[in-house]
Amino acid sequence: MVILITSDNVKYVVEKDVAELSVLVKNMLEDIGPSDEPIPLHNVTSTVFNKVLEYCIYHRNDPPPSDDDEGCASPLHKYLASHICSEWDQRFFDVDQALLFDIILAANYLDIKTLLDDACKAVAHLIQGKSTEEIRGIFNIVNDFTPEEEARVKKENVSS
Amino acid sequence: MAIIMTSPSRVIFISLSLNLYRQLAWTQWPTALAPMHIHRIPPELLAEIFKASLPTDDCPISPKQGPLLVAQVSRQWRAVALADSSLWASLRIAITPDTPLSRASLVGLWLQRSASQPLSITVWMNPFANFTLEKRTLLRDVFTLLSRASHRWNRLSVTLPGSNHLFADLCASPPYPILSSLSFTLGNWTPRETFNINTLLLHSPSLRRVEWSNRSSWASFDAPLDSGMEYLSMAWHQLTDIVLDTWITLKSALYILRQCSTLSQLDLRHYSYSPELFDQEEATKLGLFQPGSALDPSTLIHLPQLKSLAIYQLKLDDGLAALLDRILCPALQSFSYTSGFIERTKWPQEAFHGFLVRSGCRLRSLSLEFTGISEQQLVQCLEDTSPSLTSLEVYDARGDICVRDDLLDSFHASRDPVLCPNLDTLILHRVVSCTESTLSDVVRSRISPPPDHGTPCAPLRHVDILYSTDISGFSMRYERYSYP
Repeated sequence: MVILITSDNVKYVVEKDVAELSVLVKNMLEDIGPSDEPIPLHNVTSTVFNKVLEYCIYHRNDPPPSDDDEGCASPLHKYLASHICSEWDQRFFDVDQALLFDIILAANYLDIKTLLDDACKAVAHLIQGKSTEEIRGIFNIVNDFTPEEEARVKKENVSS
Repeated sequence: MAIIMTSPSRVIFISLSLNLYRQLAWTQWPTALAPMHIHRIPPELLAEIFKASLPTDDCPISPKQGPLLVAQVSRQWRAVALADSSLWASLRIAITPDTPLSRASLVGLWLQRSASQPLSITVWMNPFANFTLEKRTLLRDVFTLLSRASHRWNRLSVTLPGSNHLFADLCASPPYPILSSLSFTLGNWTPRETFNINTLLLHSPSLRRVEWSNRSSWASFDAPLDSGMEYLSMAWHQLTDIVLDTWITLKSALYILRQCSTLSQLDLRHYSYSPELFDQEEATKLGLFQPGSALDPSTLIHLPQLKSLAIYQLKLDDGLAALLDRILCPALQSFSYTSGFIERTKWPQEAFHGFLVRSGCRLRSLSLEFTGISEQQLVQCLEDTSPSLTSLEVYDARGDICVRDDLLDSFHASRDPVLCPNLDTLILHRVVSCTESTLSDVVRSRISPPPDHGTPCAPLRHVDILYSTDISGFSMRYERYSYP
């Protein structure tokens, strides 16, 4: 078991294989060797870490992607792999934007690549198929182009 | 339990208060004052989000998606999009009647923004479209721009009408040091343009994957034509992945395979018999059956790394057996065969069985479509591959039944030994005539196999069966059983 302490001083006792999905934690464990010392996670609050742990526990036994499997998979398998998304993952990322971005920041800090990739895909899903106005509305972004810049961008797109 | 929280009440309190704050933020704050959470994301992570938003295929040059879309949102987003050259590393240029001539300038801008990134490029035009002077000018401009970046080509896919002498512009700047994947889909191509394409082939030392599609016209979609393969200076020995979507005879296939010692995947989409096989007198005169010659059946072609073999034939003919008799594939994991029509030739079970046994491969995936295979032959195939097979697909639509109650029952998890214990995918379309109770019992036993009972079974994860309950096999009405 590994003891982790979040930035708001909440202590977690986590199984080692789950904790080591974070490359940051894995490297720290290797650096300090066998120890009962708690590992501080300065940049993650307990609220966000609860969510990160939920993901790590669910995905703890996922096999790493294999080139071999990709190479010899049948067309059906390739189709299924590319079209079937886990319902669990969809539910997991069905959270408000603040938490979604907190998860991205935490995954980046903890160096959990699969969580970072999946969370980025969840945000990307909000962008795909939308107009620039819709994107600005979704993320509450102000159009801060000057009229000259806006004209240049429009001119660039005319040729497309 | 994986987690023990030392102060759960505190966690719940924080969680609730944050949720309340968010609810307020999204329901009660005026839009202008709503929190802009995405502004907390640093540029490098914003770039990752942009990458995740790119289309899965090459990115079409369009302001409605990809980097051009996000670069219009705000100054910060534009700066991030323009600063990350990897966002511009793939591009798809479609030349349609509506494509403006100014498209070439945007291609130039796109290439500039991709900096030194390896490029994945798709150029698409209807291969059977009429070629106007305007489109010719546009394509030549685009090809000239692409040609200047040829040292960065990593993947190139070109679909366009052949025989328009455009390849001189595209293939004008050898070498192509990192080009690893090349796809040509050409309409009405003739070998007159071989010279320029060979310039490309001869100067691509990293080429590993080739897809060659050459059709004469839609009207003669499946008609035999001169594939022109023998005119191409392909370095077959360095290829690992070959797709030949053109008329390939046994002789051409053997000529190619003899040179492919590192081949991993082979897809022959219009394979056929060699006329030479049927004129043995002529073939003998030409020395084709001499030991070591092109069609010599006693010299096996060893393909030690071939994992996937897919063959499509317009009509099942003797060419399939002749090919299977001449190759040895010990690493084969996936075999797929599809026939458009069956006429006189029967499924070559003896050759297929001999091929599997001789190769000693551990086949994981078997797909047979419109083969006319009998139940007895299918049983032999499954016995040959039983321990390793994880995916079985058999399709037909003409009432050729090859799965009945007895064969289904041998899949039952309680049998010892059970047939194909590691199956996780079972697709049987219009080849099953059985009683509903047997089908239901067998599939349920394999979806949740009982533990500690006979041969250990992997659970079925995907089942799709179109079956007839008319055991005479004459009914063409089918029911569906699918899971999940």
